[in-house]
Amino acid sequence: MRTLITLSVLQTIGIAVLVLHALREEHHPVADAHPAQSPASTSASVEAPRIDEERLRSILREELAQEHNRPVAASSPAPAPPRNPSAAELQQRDLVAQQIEAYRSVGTITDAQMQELQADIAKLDAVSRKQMLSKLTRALNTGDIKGRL
Amino acid sequence: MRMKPTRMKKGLALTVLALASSAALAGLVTDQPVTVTLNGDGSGNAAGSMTTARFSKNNVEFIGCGVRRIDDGAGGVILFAFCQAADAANVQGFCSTDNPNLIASIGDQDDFSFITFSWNAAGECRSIGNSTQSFYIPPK
Repeated sequence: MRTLITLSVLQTIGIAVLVLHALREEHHPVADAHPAQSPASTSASVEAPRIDEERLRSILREELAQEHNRPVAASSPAPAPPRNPSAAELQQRDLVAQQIEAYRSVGTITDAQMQELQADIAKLDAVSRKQMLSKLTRALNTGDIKGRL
Repeated sequence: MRMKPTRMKKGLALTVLALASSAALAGLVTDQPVTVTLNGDGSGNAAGSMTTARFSKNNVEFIGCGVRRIDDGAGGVILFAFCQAADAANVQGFCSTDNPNLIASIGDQDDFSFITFSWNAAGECRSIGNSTQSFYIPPK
């Protein structure tokens, strides 16, 4: 208990010293510390820290912006950007799109038909697969196709 | 020694009362019916307890997520997942994703999970979450 009180008192004294030091610094800015310097050099010496501060601020801003834009799973390697689909792949995609449109016109899809459709979607290239999954999901969400994934 | 009928009845009543009270004390149970919100731009969200949906008094309510692994016929396996739900009024919400991190979260779901998911205007899942708590387990 006594040790804790001693530590607490020491901590308070330390804080008080720091506050006093900070107040003293405030009353004696950098320019006052070099009274012998010419106005030009004085302004330069004041300008230099300001530039450094600005530089530091801009670096911090850049770092923060980079951190903000960084994906959550930064440790995992970035996936390769999907390539553009070939003509044959586009043809396959169009066939799947037609299937979805056919189900849309019927208004319903059975579980077995959904399995087949998903298997066809799986055979598409990455870009087309994403597009067709999105098309199917949107049709389900709007109620144009009644069924389950 | 014969017990008087009135005393016997009292004893029986006390036993029944004791059994009934012990059955009633079974911990917290919470019903979380499925809710589905569809926004004008095509985005939306859904949430609800699997147990509440399964034992609801209607035959339309459901919620869940699934994973599809499909042989692409070229030596690879295509992986994607989906979540879907319908509330008591049969308002339905769906989303699909090929995001490995979102797909992984589906593995955390359990029979007694409270599931929540949301999607963007393209129908792509933006979040998939679950909470597995004792109060989602149905009473005995």
